[in-house]
Amino acid sequence: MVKELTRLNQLSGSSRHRQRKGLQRLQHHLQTSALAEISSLPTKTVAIGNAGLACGLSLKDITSVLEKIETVEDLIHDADHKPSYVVRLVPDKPFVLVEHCCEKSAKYAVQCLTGFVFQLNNGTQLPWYPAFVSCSSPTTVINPPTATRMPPDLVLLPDVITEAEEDRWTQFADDILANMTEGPERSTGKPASTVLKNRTTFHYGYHFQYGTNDVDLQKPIQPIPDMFSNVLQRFIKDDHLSVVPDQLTVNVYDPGQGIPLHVDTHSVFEDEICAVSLGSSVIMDFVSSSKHLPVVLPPRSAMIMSGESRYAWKHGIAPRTTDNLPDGETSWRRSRRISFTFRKVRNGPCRCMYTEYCDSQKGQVSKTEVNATLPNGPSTNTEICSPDVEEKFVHEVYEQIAPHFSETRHKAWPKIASFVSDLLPGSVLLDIGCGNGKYLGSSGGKLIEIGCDRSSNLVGICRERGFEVLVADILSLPYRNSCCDAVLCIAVIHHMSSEERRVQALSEIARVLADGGLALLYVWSIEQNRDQKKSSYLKSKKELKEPSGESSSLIGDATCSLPVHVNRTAFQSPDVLVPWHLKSKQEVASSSCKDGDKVFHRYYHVFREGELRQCCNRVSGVQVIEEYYDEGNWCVVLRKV
Amino acid sequence: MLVLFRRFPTLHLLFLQTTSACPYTSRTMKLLTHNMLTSKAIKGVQEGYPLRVKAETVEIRESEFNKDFLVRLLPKIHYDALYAAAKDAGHLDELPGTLPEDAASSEEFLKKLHHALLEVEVITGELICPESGRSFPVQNGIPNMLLKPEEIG
Repeated sequence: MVKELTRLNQLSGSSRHRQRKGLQRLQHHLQTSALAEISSLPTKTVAIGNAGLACGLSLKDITSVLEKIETVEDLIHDADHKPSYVVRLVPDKPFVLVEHCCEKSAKYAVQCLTGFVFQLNNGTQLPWYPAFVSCSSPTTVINPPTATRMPPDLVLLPDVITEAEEDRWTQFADDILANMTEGPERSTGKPASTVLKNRTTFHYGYHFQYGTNDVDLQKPIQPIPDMFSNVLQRFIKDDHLSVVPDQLTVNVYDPGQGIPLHVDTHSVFEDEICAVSLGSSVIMDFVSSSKHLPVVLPPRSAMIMSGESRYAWKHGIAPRTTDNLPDGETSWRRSRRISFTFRKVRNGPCRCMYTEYCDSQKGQVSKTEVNATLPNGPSTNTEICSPDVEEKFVHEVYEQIAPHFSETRHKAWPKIASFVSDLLPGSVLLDIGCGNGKYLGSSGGKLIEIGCDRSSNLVGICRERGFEVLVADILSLPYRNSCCDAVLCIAVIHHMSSEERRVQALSEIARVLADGGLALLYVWSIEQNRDQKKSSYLKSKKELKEPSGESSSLIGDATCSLPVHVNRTAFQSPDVLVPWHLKSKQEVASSSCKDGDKVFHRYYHVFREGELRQCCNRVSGVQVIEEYYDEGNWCVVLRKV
Repeated sequence: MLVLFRRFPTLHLLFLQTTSACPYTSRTMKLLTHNMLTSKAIKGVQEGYPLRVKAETVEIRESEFNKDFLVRLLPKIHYDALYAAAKDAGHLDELPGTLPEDAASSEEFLKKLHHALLEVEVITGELICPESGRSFPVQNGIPNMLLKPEEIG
């Protein structure tokens, strides 16, 4: 490619003429846009005529060409200087501005691109006309704009670190990288460091353990070096921070590296978390509910997360080599970035109001807090698709409520019992999501019955009752293909948080069924009132404590917010959190419900009429042979064909 | 008793609450269960079958022999996997190396099959994926087959 570019560089007379014309047009467009003008001397910024949005090019088209040049540029740069550039597209203009990291790169780009012809998908040929330009407003062009929308309580302080400080801090990190050893090294004075899959980190004050996401308070390590104290004192003096941090984690990200979305463990660190960025600009993604806000962290800036942004938003950096702003106009290639994260270690549990995300207050939400936590406006019908929702609002909850749940589950439903009793003797029956084993053992030894559940505590209860069980996930069943004659899957698929996952669960059931095998599926129905008849769920109102009607509360999670259903009332939304009031044994006996009940929330997707059948129809190799409504549930019998 | 169950479908509830034993249910992992398990959900694993058995504690729990039941079970069993598991568990107990031609009619063989499938039970140990070496713990007779999201292909 580059060879080809260089060859094209030897221009003939007529093409030199075309080149001049092209540059004249570029000059004209630049003048009318008032963004930059052509410079006779080399500069860092290159304008490329015939390469703009108005020519039908996208950012990707342009970077695909620039990337090829940049890879060669590695050779002409000093080893410690990775080339980088920022692309700025201008709406409705036939040119693009590319700000290079140095004149050397810019020169090389002009040299390579002169005479280069870009071919559009439709065959149109676009000769590019590159020229050095001086920008009339360099700051707006050079720096990627910082995001205008930020998560609540996030503060971004641009240029709080001087260039001299940046150099010293970078040198500091380089020195450590140069003679780094893994693990805590208190004796030698080296910091504790970890080479992670996607970045290199080292720690001061306390060693952050990535396995447990925790620090050992009993084992402080080398404190934060004095060289950082000036800046920290300055942050305190300017009211950016209220307490002096005592833990520092340094992350070194090479281009292409990142950090997964996460919330810093509540119980481990105090409210304020301060991250200073050096080196490359980078986009940090903040995600909460269905919201996603990309925030640009420029070099020498500090980001201070507290309150909602610290407790209830996940943040992370995508592992990639170029960042593009969602406006589609700005892109830059990452160079090495070093972040210095200063945190204050917490003593004792976290008492934040964001209980849903809080490991100190895990899974339990007091009634008063439900409303307080929830920030996110009315629920939407957008697809909830997050394994996190299932982890937090299904798996963890069943683990915690297992004994109480089991006490409330003993009556076998007649239609399910008759499905089981109609199976031929000697059949292998898998009960997937067997809970406390309500339907296991019901054949009295006529069948081989094997149960599995995602909750090890529920499986433990089954074991106590003498059943053959194992712990497994319906989305990846551990059974071989076609191994069973029948499957029971009662009240399980409605805990999957997206249609794709519901279909995946059904596909797994289809996979393990032998030809001709039958599966009985039960899911909760959004319709609880059918043929003028209330379901038993609506009828048994004895436990109702809340006023009936629609629940306006929402509980937010990192990727969605969900309405909280009011027990024993009609469903208002297909994706809901259903409260479980955990009672002790005595309370169950007296059927009382104290205000001090622990409340857990289980996620449900409640099915419309026909929805379960439609999901089944998406699975190949099975046939819906029966569909019915049973006490507020939609039920399907499937046959493997 | 079966007749009773058929006539009174909920009778078993009373039964279950008082005792835990039906002839074919018990509280440990039977080799029958092992016969159905695979680790093929793991990324990069093709068959994941059969899982190797590394048994620490094995119990022999006698149960009622039912010939018809075993004859119907026979075609669903992967015999080689059963043989390997019984060997790994240290309870071959005269189980033949290959499935006899007259398997369905030989009561002698069916009794050995009954023993291996339904009476040899692993209480603690591991199940090991033959391709990746991933180990699934068996504790209190419960295999934990959960995989981390990043392990799933």
